[in-house]
Amino acid sequence: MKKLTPLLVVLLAFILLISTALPAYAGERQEENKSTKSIQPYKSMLTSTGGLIVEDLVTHTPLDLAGALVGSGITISNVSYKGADCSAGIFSGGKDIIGFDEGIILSCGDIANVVGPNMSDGISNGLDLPGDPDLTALIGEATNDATVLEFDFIPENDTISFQYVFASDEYNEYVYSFNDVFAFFVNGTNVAVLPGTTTPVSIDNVNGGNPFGENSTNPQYYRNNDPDDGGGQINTEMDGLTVVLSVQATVNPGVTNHIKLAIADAGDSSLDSVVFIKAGSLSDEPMKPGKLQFAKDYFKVKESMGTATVAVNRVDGSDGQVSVQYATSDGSALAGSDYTTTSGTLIFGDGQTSATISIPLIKDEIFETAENFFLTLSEPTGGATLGDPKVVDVIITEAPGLLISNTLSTSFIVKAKEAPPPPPPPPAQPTYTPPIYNLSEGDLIARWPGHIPLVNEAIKWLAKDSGITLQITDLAKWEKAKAQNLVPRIYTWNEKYQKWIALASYQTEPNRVKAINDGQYTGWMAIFAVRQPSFSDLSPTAWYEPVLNRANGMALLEGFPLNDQKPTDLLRLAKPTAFMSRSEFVAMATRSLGLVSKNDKSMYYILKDIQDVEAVLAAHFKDAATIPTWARNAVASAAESGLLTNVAGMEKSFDPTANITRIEAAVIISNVLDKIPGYQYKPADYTGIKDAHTIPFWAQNKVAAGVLVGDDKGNLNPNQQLNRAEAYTLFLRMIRTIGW
Amino acid sequence: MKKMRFVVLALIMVMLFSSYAMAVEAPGEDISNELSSQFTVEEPILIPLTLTWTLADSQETTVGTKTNFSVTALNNTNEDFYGVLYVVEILKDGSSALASDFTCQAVAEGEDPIPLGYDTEGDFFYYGPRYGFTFPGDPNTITTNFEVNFHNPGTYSVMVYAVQLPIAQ
Repeated sequence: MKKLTPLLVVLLAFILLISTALPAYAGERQEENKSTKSIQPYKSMLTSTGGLIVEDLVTHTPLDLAGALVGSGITISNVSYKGADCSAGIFSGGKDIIGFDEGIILSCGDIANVVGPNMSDGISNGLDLPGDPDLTALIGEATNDATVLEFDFIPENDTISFQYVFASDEYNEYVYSFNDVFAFFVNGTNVAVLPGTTTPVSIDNVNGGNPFGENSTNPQYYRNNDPDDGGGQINTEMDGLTVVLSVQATVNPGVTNHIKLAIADAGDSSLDSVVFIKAGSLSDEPMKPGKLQFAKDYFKVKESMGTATVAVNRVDGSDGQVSVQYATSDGSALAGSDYTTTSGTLIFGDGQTSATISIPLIKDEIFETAENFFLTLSEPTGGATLGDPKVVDVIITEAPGLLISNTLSTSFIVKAKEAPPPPPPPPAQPTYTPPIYNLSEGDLIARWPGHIPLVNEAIKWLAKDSGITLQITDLAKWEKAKAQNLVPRIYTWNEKYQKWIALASYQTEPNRVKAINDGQYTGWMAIFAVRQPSFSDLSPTAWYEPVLNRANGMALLEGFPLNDQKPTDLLRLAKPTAFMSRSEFVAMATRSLGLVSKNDKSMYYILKDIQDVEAVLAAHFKDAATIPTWARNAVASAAESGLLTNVAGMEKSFDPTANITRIEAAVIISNVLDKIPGYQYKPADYTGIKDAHTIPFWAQNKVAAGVLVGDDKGNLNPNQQLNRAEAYTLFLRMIRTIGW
Repeated sequence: MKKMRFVVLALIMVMLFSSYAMAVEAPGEDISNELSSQFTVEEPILIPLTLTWTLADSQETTVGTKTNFSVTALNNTNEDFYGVLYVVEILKDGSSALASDFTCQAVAEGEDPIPLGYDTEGDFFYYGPRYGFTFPGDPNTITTNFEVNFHNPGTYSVMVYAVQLPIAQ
């Protein structure tokens, strides 16, 4: 034993030495098959503070990366990764740096090296890892330190697209020497090529030349950030990067396809290169980069303004970063005497639809008639095309004649007229009592007509009590109501909509009715006997009983007939724990909004009236034909009104029979709230919620405060299916917010 | 022949003197760089009318409040100017102001106010008859009172100057 102990110490020390000396190498990882719906989102883990933030595979799994990459219409499986843990991860804070905010990053070094500012001309992390044979074949020279993420995917359509930026510290001094390379192999073919070519994107194929400014290759796609060459303003360590480039590739719809994302050093293992890929951008929806065109046929500007500002619009799509070249040319106005020759590149960021070009005008003391010069757009990138007009007349005007005086100038700062003092308050109106007799149809919200008032007059209730108990005072009518199988309910008078609306109510004593006042209603109350269903499967002690009780009173809860009974029987099933399909949820949401009178234009515009339902459905949904008849109006109206925006791709592919999840429902309700006049939309703060990281990226910050709350264990369960009781809870919150 | 000898002598003397002159340099060694510049002197631009007004460089007002000011033009020459027009350029927040943004008119006691005209071709406002008025010299001063009323809030830059329209008009 004595002999063995020193040997063990030496062995342990050796193992420790070896393990710290080697890079954190993940080797090959294989993830189990998972669909997009089970992908763990990541955004909540990162907070951007103005620069790039990265997290590598010490924190995340390859499956996280693949999941972050895919967008709508794509299902993935068989995710595998080859490379070091430090060579792949996720990033955020890239919007003003690389052109999109967040996504995944692959490096042939350490992804931490992309974080700016640019302090080093040659940041490097050699990994001593092998290259990739496909990349080697692509550029015809040896590759090293390869990082490879690959997975299978099933697209719904025959085209996929995504957006990326390649960046490297090889720029500019090693252009044409070390040709670091990356590729996106879709079913074996590299699709990361320059627009309209088969040229792979690499150091040698996109650069500003070496020395910088000389002998450049495809410089229109290149952004210099090398401090030695006047760069360094872009907040990343990388010395050069491409503009946002787009990939479009043909794939086989409905079957398994394969994608391999790979990057490697070429020639040596020094100096890092990386590729950023936009989150959620791997989609089978066709990209729409749009058309670039001038906003008007001509622009008229006064010479005295000093600058001509010309607007360029991006129409018919705004996907991805695109750019266009512009240049002036002489008309009757001459460069150098009437205006300054101007040319350059106009860049539109992802989603940006307009930009302006400024051309300095030269003011002279010579008065001339109107003159013009031309401004021309050319060489659009990023998949954008040129629209019309692509050439525009810029007309310089000035007063005619010979200047014979000095020029006076001044400025007026004109403020808005101060609001007049508020008018004196109107004289107090005599208090009124809302009617309870001879109500018009619709003045009392109930499933069926035939209500009977059970009090002699409405009762004013001023306290915000959690419970309200009222006495039936018209006993004769109560007897009559009982004979008709009517049920007593407490109603509250809604002054805004001038309607009686039910509260959750219970007959507690022979002549008393109690209401659960969760909404803290005050004001006029009354008891009415109404015909309504009752539900055999509602436990009086269940948490959701008051919710469904009130929904029943508001004619929102239809229920299901018992198996052996006629549909018209009043005893039904509520099925509170059954899941709700997307069709059912949207139909109920629109029905809840329909409580508002169409005469109330200020509110009703939340839900648009649809004239041609079929046309709307066909325009929105690929699976329009599968939407059931009873839900078609509701779904069309919801889609056209924007209620399905940002809901898991629901706006384009509705999947009507799928059960709706808690987070999908919450975003729909939040979309409604966001349209309410005067509603102060505030995203829910899920700090402290244990499973906040499982909120899908499309729902980040799209849920209004108070709509979806955590359970008593501190979990939100966003991806769980929504049951009917939970759905009605959401509906009641929503209609309370719109003034009920 | 005597005459010929004299010419040869004269040529030799010229060559001697000229080579001496070329050899002359500034005394001492150069110890600084050399500065050089060029002045292009042009004729002064004569502006015959001098405008002044009663407005400050900047002022604040509110929508609907009328501001009165006067513009005085001094013709300090003996010449009469024909076809004179006051041009008024107004920008609102950096762009051309619209006619709906303001009302500006010349006012004189006992006379109907005369609003500024607008030239659609040249995109400018002006004061005066369409083809200008005659400004007599010897010397002469003309003061015109204006009233301006802004209808929309914003920052308005106002420039006023006089032009002489081409005789062809």
